[in-house]
Amino acid sequence: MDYKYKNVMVVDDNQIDLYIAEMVMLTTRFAEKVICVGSAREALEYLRPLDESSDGLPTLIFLDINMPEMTGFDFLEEYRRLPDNIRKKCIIMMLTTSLDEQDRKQAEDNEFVKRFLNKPLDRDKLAQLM
Amino acid sequence: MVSQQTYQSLHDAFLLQVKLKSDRLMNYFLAGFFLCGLMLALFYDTWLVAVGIGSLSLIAYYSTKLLLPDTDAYQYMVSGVFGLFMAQFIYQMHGLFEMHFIAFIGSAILITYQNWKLQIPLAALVIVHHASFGYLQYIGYDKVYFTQLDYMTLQTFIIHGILATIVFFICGLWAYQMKLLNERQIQQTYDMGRYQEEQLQRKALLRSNEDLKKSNKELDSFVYSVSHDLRAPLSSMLGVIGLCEMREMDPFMQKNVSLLKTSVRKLDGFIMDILDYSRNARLDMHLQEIHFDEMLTDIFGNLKFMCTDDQKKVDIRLAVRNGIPFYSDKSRLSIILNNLISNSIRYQNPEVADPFVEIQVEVSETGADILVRDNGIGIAEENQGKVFNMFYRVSNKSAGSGLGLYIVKEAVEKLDGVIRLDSETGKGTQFSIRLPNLAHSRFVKQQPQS
Amino acid sequence: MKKALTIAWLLLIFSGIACIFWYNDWKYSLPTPVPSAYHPVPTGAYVDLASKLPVRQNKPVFLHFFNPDCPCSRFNIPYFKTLVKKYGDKISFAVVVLNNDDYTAAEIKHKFDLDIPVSFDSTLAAACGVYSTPQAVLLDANHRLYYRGNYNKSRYCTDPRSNYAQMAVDSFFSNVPRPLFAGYALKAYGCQLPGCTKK
Repeated sequence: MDYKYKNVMVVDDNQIDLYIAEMVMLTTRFAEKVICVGSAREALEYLRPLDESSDGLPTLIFLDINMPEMTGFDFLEEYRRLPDNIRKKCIIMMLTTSLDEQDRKQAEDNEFVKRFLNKPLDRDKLAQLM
Repeated sequence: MVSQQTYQSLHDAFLLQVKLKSDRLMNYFLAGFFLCGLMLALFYDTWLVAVGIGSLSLIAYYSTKLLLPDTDAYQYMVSGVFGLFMAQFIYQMHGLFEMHFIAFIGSAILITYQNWKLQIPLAALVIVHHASFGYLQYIGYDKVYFTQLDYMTLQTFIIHGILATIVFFICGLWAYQMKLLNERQIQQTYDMGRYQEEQLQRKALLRSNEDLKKSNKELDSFVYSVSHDLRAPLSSMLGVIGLCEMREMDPFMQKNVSLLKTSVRKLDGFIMDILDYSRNARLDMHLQEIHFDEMLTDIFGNLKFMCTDDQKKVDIRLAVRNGIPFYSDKSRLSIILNNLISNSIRYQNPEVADPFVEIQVEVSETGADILVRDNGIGIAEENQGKVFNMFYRVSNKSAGSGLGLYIVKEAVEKLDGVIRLDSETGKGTQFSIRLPNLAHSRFVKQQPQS
Repeated sequence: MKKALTIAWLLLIFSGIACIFWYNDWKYSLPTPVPSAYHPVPTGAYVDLASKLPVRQNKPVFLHFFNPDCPCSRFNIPYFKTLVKKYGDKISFAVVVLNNDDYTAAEIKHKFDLDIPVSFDSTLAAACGVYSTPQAVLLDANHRLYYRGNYNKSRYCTDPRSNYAQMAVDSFFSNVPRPLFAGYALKAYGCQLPGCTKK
């Protein structure tokens, strides 16, 4: 079976949204393994000990913007400080319900963010990414 | 008018103060004069004159003050009374020349009233007194005690007259100058008062402005967070519904899930309409150059998945004629086009083979003409006037919130434009919008909303 | 209405003031009433001063009849002083005080600021035919009456043209015949003797 990506990480504080993302990705064979984390802090903790050859290193990171304590943008700030070898491998997609122009602009201005997507994730949206 | 009154009342209040103070002083001075008369009586036993004339003079003054308190006649009486006292003292000392100086003392005292005209009765009395008695003495009428010196020659008389007049004139001049000075001060006080009032008003205005800005900002963030928090669970619901749909379901379940999806979508649309409405109503105009191609592409991107399952995909046709830079508010324009195009998609005609929506844009120096035309189900003529009303929906089967066209109209008006509706049931609908080019509007200079 | 009332009232007051002035003037113009037991003393009559005043014989004497309580006399003081200053060496000046109260000679001299003989003998008045103050009496070297009369035209007049006492002295020394003095000079005014009851 061919998966598009081996490891994909989803960062979202909403349990249901994590569940939806995981289900969609697994069902559509988008990813072999979906790493779900409930906060940006957990995501950083996961990423920090890894390096480019790590098995668990995700190729894609779907990042929610609106999260308590550390928002998606805060994560990007911290992400910048991660070692280069990790950052080279990961591509970040921003996921949000936000319609705010400013959020969109801020996301697109960031060098690590490849795309800005609206929730909810579904088959067609993932199809676009393939 | 109010300011005028305040100045007048300031002026009057001040004048009253001057009057009261001067009247108090007068009481003391007149008492002093009367006592002087009594003291002078010691010299040559002129008691009858001292008491009689002194008290009659005082009675004259105080009775004028009592009888005519609202005029300043009594002040002129003071002037006359000083003259009388001078005559009395001269008489009491049997012509002692130094008594003439009483007139000058009186003249100086009168300055306190700040009215140069008060010098006149005194001057007149002095001149008449001196002239007539001097003349009488000159012709030898012996029953007159004018001066102990050699009889007054005409030359002496004229010189004395001139000098006395000069003294009266100077006293009058100072009285007048004092009045001017005080009037200037009143004016300044009044102006200062008005200025302070204006400052206070300005401060109050600034404060209320700040308050308004603050509450606006709070409302903004409130609307933003509310809509966000409302929409988040809805998107989760849509996501879960999507998951369900990925599996084969029995028709019963399928139908239910579909109904769920419709309702959630409706609710989501409604929330977004409220957001649009709020943004249109309260955001400041932020002008920038509009790139129609870009904007429309974005809108299509968002609306691509809008059709319900039983609807056909709507063909979108673009005909944009650019060239001249067109300035307007991007978010509002986006809202307008979004609403119109989504309406066209939503209200497509199921009996037509190729439903389409056509957008024509023509930009000129003065403005832009936008045409959104579709071959949908159209709007009945009797309803055409009502579609722009808030919460108006043609039937309860309509998927929309009823806010869409209302928001469109509000936004068009905010952009200073006009919108026209042409429609025929079964044939299609056409919205024609004319927006002015706000390139040179005063809004261009505004800062973007932070 | 009030204005008219005020003006009427003020006119009343002013006429009252005018009346007072006029009345006073009239009083001043009245001459002194002649006492019932008056003996007129004609000019040229001899007046015996020997026992009464320490004056030198063979020198003209000027008697100034004075009453310290009399305002007309008081008014007269500076004028008398000028006379003394002018003629003090040629004439013997003396003051005769006609008063019931006790004044010392020192006090009188202090009033005039002059060191001249002071007498309190009231018989001198009758001897000279004086019945009021102030009066001037000029006796020639033989103590004969040269002039007895007022200092000026009226009580408080200082007009040099009617300065009778001065004129009398001048004519005495210039040896012109005695001028004819008008009634004003001779009709005595001033305070009565001895008490100055009428002013």
